[in-house]
Amino acid sequence: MPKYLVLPKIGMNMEEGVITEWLVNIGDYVEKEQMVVRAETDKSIQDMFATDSGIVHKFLVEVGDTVPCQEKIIMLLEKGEAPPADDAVPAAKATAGPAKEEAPVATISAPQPTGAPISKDGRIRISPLAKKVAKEMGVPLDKLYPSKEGHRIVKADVLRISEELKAAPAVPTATKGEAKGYTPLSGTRKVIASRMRESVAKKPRVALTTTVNCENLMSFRNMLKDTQKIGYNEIMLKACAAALRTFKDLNIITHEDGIITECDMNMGIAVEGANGLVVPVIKDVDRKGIFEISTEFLSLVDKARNGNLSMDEMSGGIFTISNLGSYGVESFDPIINAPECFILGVGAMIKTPVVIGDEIKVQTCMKISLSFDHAIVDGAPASKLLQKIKTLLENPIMMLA
Amino acid sequence: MSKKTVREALNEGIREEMLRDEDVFVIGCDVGVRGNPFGVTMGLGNEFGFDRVIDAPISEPSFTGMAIGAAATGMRPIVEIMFSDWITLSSDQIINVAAKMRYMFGGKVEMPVVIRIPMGAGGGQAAQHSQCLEAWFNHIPGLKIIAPYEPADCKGLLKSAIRENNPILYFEHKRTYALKGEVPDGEYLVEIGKANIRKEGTDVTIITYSAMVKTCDAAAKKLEEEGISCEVIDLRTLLPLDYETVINSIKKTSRVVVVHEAPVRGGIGSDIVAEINERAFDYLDAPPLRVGSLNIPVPYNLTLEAATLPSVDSVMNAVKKVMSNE
Amino acid sequence: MEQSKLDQVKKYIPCYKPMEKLPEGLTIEDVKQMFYDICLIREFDLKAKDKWRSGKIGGFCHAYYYAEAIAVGACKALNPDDYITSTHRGHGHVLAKGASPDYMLAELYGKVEGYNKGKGGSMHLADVDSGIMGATGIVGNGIPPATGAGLSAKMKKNGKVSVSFFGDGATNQGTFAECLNMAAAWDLPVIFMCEYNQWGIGTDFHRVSREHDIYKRGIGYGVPSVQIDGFNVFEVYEAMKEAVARARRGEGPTLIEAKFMRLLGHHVGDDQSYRTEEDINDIAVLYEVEPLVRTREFLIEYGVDPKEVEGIEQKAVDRILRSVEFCENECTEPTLDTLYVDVFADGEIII
Repeated sequence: MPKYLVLPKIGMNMEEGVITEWLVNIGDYVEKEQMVVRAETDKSIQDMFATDSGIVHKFLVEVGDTVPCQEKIIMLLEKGEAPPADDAVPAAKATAGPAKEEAPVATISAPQPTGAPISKDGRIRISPLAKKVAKEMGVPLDKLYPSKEGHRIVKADVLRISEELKAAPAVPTATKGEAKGYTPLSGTRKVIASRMRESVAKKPRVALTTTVNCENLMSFRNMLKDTQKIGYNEIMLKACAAALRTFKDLNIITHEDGIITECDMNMGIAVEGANGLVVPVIKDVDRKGIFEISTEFLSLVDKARNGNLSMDEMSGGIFTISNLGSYGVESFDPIINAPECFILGVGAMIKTPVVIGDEIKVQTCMKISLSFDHAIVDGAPASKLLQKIKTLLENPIMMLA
Repeated sequence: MSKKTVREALNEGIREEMLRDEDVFVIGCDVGVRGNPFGVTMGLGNEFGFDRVIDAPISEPSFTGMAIGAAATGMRPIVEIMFSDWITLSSDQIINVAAKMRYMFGGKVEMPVVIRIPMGAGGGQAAQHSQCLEAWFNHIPGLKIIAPYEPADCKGLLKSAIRENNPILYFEHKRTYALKGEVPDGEYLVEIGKANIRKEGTDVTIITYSAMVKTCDAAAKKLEEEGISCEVIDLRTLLPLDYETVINSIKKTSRVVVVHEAPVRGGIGSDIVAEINERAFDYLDAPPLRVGSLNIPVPYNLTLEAATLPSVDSVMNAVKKVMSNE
Repeated sequence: MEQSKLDQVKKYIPCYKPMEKLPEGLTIEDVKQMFYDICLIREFDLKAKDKWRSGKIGGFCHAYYYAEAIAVGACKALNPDDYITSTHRGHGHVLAKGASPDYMLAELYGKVEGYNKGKGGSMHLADVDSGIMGATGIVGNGIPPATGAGLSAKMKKNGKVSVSFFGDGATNQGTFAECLNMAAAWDLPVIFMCEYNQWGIGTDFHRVSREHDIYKRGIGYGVPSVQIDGFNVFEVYEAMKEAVARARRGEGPTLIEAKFMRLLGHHVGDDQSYRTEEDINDIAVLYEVEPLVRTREFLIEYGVDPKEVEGIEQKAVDRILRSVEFCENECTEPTLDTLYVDVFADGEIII
């Protein structure tokens, strides 16, 4: 039988505490009376002791949660003890740290089929039969996902995934002996993986690359910076939206066997989130000023890093910017974020010899690459769009036009 | 074997048992000279005399209680309550006497009484002539409940019921009286407590009884055309309920819809779903669903009435819902 | 009436009494009004029967005609705010108590404009504003609520009386005996009006009871009880007048046994196969003493111009024609969003 640590009552008036930090990790052996958690009480932030001994199997609450005294916070197992049968691995809660695993799920835009099985409360939505069959077949629950986003995992899903797992080369036999380890993809990673594969499979992409002279862009940013802290990403968001708006035919996303037209200028930007890639979306960028965009952008980035983005904040985009310039990447052609049809890969700003008139001058330039879905969009209109983006970035003042 | 209506099958069942056992008698309002409003007891009074096919005054509580008393003293009465809605009048004697007498008296009394109860809505009979109240009695230990559909089952189960030494509520559905089917001539018994798989299927189990069998048959046929294979179970007996058949079917299909005409809330379906959850949870791929009437008195207006009762569409929708995994 | 016919009538209605003189308290204008009400009920049910047969009316439809003397005579003695409860055969009570044939027929048509918004139909007509506490489809089922209305009238001291209409069949239900006892014990202002039509669907009352004088059952419970000619609207009125006065004086209940004969089937689709041809021929004489015929005769013998009498009958026919037109042209079907309405009080909906 598992044992549980509860939040101890350490003051006369203490009724609850806000969990601020775990002082132990999953797998650690804890002694009774050992400090295991840091929590904010009505008085101050204090370390709390373990109410029992054992190996930490699972955190039952999350950092940030307000927990009443005497509520279970950690599940302990004895060495070699199997977890209880109904241990449905509420993944979000089982992981240390602030990340919520459902967040990356939300990077999936509405019409996409695949999805992860974890619902908002952190439970895996799986039928009793599917659970039983998975157990019998030895398919780990965290490998399961339903055939359609938001649906329950049923027996048919287990059978399908079991076949997929058999077909997939697991750890190659030859190297099995030497392999240092094998980690199955986590829920988040799996979502990213399946989305990338899906996009590559369904969206034949072509990348068009051009060079942007950044001299005006830099002065423009400096000018703005006097008023409010502004990064290039925000300006690029605005420029892309302004460019896209002039091509009504390109304001599209794909949906089933067709396209949805006349989409709003909701622009996504790839960000490194708590558990990997996420794409927060800023709505109606064409109708917002750069300062407003910036404020929104910074708040979304903050949420992304904390794993707090909502579904709404990650859906509805029609165009994504992926900027790897800060890592020194010169140019790249990113994979399209389906169901969108465009993604702009932004490279580093580099001092470059440029011919101006008959002189060679050193100016700052960067390469931008527009990947587009060639199934839906032809080369010429995509080139025009890229050209427009380039023009606006080189003459940012034109964004006002 | 010959084609007979439910009405004729019931009549034949009563007649054969009256011939077989002179302790069998019929009592109820209008059962004798008139042969009951639906013709079920037609001709029996003339054949067996009006001392054995007794026209009672409109005194349901007491003539039901009297039948119970006669049963306890060696007779085998068949009581008829003209409309199931009025079983409420007799319920004291059924619940507090018939169901409990044997147990209270240390097993020293037999209670071979059958109470026939025509039930069900249709045609604007309104709130006091339409109800299906079988679930009330499912709650009472000591009673058995039968609610057949097929003419052959009607005969076979009625004959078995008459020979039982337990109090049995036998629900007939008014809408089925004219239904025709092959009925074995002469001695034919159907075991109480056994369900019948009407149609085998692999995707979903539809559990039903009484007139809703027809609705479910039609729904299953249409669903088959849409590629959903339904297994249709006619429970026939509601208490004791054939959970073996039910659970085996669910092990095969992992999805289940229970359909009855009575309102959903507190219906037999609620009990069945609870049992399924307890006994077959690990075989379920979807939550079991119940289909029944709306939780309102049956309205008079025909459009409102139709919207109140379960339909082929509502059964199909429920099946599609359990199939959707949503 | 010749003696042989009279004997034949008395065979079925031993308390038969001719309508000879205007009862005390009624004018000839009152009688004309009562005749109009009788005609209205007759015409209403003739039309209801037609419409049931043509499928415009669903469910069960039990016609009241030939019993009009009881509803009309009884309600004539009541105030508009007195209570009545009715039966499955209740169209007459409801009309006589003052309900509109338009909204009644609309209810039979299942329309929103109907008294029960299309949810009750023929067997459950109710117009609480006219003191009609509703019809019930279960025999003997309206007696306790009527007695309860008497209890509330007594407790509230509002001077109202309550009348329960029921048939001879109901007198074999426990509710009848139980309510007679309580109404007597507590002096409740209740009138038990037994419409003794001698048939319970297909069962002759005489086959299922030993004592055929129902009024005697009331005496057994200490309730003043009387047997009257149920085809005679004056007899009913006078018995009721006395019973109502007693009730209002606080002297408790009365049982009135109004004996007559059901001259038609149980409901409008009943073929009466349980009645022999002989029986049917035998009772044919009663058509000469049924209430519409007798009241018409009385008016003419009293000196009212036959043309005026005919005019009254025609007026009732026209009135019901207007109701039919109202139902067929001006009424609307209820919509499905009304399904859960009125299950609970104060608009609460519990799905």
